Amino acid sequence: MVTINNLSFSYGRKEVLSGISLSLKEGRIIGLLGENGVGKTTLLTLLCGLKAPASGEILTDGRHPFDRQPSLLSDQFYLPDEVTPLRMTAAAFGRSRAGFWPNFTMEKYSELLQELEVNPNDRMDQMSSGQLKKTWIALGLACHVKYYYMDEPTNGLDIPSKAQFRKLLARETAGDSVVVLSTHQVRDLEDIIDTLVILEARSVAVNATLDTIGKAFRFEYTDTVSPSSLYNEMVPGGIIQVLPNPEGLESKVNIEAFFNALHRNREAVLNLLK
Amino acid sequence: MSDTFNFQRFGRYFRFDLARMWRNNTKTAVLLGCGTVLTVLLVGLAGLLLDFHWHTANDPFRFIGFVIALCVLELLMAKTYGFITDRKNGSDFLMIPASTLEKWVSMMLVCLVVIPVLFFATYMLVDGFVCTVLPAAGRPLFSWFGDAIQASSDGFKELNASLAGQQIPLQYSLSSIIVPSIISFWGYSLYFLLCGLLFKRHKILNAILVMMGLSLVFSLVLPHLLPNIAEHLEGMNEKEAMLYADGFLNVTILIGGLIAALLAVVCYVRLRKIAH
Repeated sequence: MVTINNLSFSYGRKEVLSGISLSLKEGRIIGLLGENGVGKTTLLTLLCGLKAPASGEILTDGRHPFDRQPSLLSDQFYLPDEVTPLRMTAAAFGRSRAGFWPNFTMEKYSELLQELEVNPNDRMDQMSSGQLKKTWIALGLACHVKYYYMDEPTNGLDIPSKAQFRKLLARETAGDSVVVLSTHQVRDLEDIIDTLVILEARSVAVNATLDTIGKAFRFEYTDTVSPSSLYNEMVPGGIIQVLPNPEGLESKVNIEAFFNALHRNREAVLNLLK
Repeated sequence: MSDTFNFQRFGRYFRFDLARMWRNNTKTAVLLGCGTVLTVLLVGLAGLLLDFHWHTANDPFRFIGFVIALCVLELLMAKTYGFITDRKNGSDFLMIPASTLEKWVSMMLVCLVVIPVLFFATYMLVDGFVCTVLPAAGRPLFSWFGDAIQASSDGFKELNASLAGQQIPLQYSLSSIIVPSIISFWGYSLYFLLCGLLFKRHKILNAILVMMGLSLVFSLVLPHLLPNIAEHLEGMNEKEAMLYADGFLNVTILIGGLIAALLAVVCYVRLRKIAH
């Protein structure tokens, strides 16, 4: 489990995260959302140990990520938004990393490359950005680690690859994994996310499971706007609106609509979530 | 398994690091190793331009070429691990499951042993080949170095050295030549390596500028801190002067060694604290 206690971080004088506390439990696929510049990537890099907290602490199974202990590094995988195009083939890339992660196998890596339609003999520095990203995704998923931190994992992927990514992520991550996906492309990932963490200026606005959100709000596709609508938007075929859900009716959470409802009606949304 | 140092994990990481070094620096190493070819071409072209005759670079020219290649090698140390300050490449490096100590030891071995040995071997091989093909180029450099090592390993030799304007019959041995040379090489290598880890851009230029600044400061400060050697030597007989010079040399080696060790430690601290 990842526990974040009173975490703060600044770039010079600009404070990005201030006094954040939350816990990321096992078996969750967490969508980390927020507007540009609120600190999503900063939080991810703090979680994986690329940055040190200015104050407060992060504990991953009782260890500080910034200590960068091999035992923790071999239990986590960080996929940055922009990945490195190394001067080697995808197959050589896998072989070069084999052994660092105890659960990694070349067979699984090759299988994942095949499923993601990446030619293992293609050189990484000659790949398109999407192919390159898929190569790194294949490596990460073949590592079978407990903690995944992925920054915009679907950026650059074509439509079939996005679906394939969702399928593989759900299939290859263990039941006790903690997967944190920072993204603006919520539609790409809303079928697999089960917990939402929404960052706003310097703090966490929402940390709730989709179950909780689904119980508090109703997501309705209609032709008319309800007076109690917290957010509504014209979409092809009607209007999607977010409504309070006092009756506890079931509906599929539309993450993008929920995010916009929070943006538009912050106090009302947060009160309903309480 | 220890989180500080594990030999099996270190072996794996070292192989990984060597492969990366090989992949990224082979072209540069080959080019540097061909320094003699470059020297022969440059001297030959200069001859053609000046007096329309081809002049084959002889021993002194080729030795100067070797020294220049060595200096370029030192400068390039700033680039060898410079990728660590880059967010993309540096993050990948930091996230590889090996401890900071293992990464640091590997870095030291690559920069202080593997690269210099590869460079020296390549240079001597190419130089030997050039001297075989072009007899006018003179003796291969490795035979010069071989002779020097042979001569100094025979025991203590006398060398007329000039210290603070006084001629001193200084004794020297193999270790008193090789050890300071290696320490000096390591010191400069570590300095440029550290600059590569500290500066995000213009690594070599910044390293040179800082070195110039430090040299200026030391040249102003050191004369006031160091003892006046000429004053000390005055009134000493030849044997006393020899012992004094020997002691002075040992202190210089010690200080050089301490500076190199300090630079290596700072490299470790930088690796430990680097953030992206």
